[in-house]
Amino acid sequence: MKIRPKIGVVSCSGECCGLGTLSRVATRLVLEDLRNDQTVTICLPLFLTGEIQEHGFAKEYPTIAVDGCGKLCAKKAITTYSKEPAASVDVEALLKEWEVESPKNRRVLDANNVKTARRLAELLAEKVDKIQEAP
Amino acid sequence: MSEYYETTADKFVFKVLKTLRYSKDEVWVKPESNGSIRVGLTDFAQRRAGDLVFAEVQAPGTQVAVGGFIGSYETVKLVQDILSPVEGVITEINPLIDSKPEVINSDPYGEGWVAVIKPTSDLSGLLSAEDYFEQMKVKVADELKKIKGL
Amino acid sequence: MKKPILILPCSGIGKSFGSIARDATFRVCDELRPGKADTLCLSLLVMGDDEARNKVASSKCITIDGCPLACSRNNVERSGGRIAVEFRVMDLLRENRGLKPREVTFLDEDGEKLSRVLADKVAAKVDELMEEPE
Repeated sequence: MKIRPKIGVVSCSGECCGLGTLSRVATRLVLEDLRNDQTVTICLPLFLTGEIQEHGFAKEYPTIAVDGCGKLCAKKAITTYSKEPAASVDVEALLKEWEVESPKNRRVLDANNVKTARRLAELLAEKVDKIQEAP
Repeated sequence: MSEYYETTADKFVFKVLKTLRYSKDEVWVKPESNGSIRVGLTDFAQRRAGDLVFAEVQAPGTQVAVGGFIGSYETVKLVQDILSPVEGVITEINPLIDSKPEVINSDPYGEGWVAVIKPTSDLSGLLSAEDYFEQMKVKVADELKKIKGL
Repeated sequence: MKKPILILPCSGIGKSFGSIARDATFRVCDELRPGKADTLCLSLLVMGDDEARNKVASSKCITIDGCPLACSRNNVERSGGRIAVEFRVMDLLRENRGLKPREVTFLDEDGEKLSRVLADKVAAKVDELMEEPE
C-alpha cells in the first residue's frame, strides 16, 4: 500500500498587491475544497516567527510554495527554515503566461479574478496529486 | 522522557499531561495537597474550540454535581459548557479567565486552569492519562476538519 | 510631506481573524486614508529585504494581529520596526460580541462588519499619529 503524504501549501502573505490576495485565495480553495484531506496550509507569518509545529511539518512533509510575485518570499522562507519546496509557483509569471490580468484591487477580487483564483487552485491541486503519486 | 503523551495529526500536536487525570467531558483534574482539585480544559478541547473570545466560571461557593455546569467558553464557532468532573463546591476561580481567556489556548494545563473544587465525591470515575489519551486519539481523527478551521 | 504610517497585518491564513486584519488594512490604505497609510509584505520584511527594513525602522508602525499569537507584532519587532500602536482583532470581537466571523477565504457578513469597525479605529489612530512629530 502506497502511503501518500499530506502536502503543506504555503502562500505568500503578499500585502503589497492583488497578486498576494490571489495566491492566498487559491491556496485556501485547495485546502477547503479541492484537496482538503490531502493538504495542510502553513501560515507563513507564524512560520516566520519560528513556530515549532509549522516548522516541524514543513521539515517532514512536502510543501508547495505559492508566491504572488518574483520576490518568492514563501519559497525562500520554506527553503531557509525547513527544506526546499517540492513545487513552487510564481503567480505573476504564470498570469503573464496565461495572458490574464493581475487583480487591480488588493482587497476585493472581482469575478474574473475569482475565476483566475479557481484556475490557479486547480493547478495547485494537480501539483498536489503529482507529488503524492511520485515514487 | 516527555511529560506528555503526544499524537500528531497534520501539523497539529495534541498533548496529554501524564500526571493528571481526565473526565470524558474534556476536563483535566489535578489533586491538590489540601484535598481539593484543580481543573481545566484539555489541550484537545481548546484546539477543537479555536481561539477563546470569552470564558466564564461560576462563582466560588457554587455547588456542582458530577457533569454539572461550572462555566462556559465561547469562540466564533461555538459556545461550550465546562462540566464538573466531580461533585463538590467551587472554592477558587482563575482570575485571568475573564480578561484573558486566550490563556486557556496558550497554556491549558498550566496558567489556563479554570477552577479549584472541594470534592464531595471520589475521583474513581476519572480516566487515567493513558486511557484518556487512547480516547483522545480517536476523537482527533474524527474532528480534524473542525480543528483545521474548515 | 509626512511619511505615511505603516500598517502591518498578520495576514494569518488559518483563521478568519487574519483575513479581517488584512482586509481592514487595505480599507485604511486604499479607501479611508490613501497617501497617509501604507503597508508592506510582512514576509518580505522578515526575509531581510533592505527596503522593507528601512521603511519599518524609519516609519511609525501599526501592527494588526488576528489572534494572541501576535505574528505581526513579533515579526515587526524582530525586524527593528517602530511599533506605535498594536491592534488585536480578538479585542474587537470582545467589544462586538454579536459578531461571529467564520469564513477565512472570503469574508462573511460578520467578517466584513468587523473589518469596517477595525478599519475605522485604525484610521483614527493614523490621524493621531500623523499629528504627532516624526
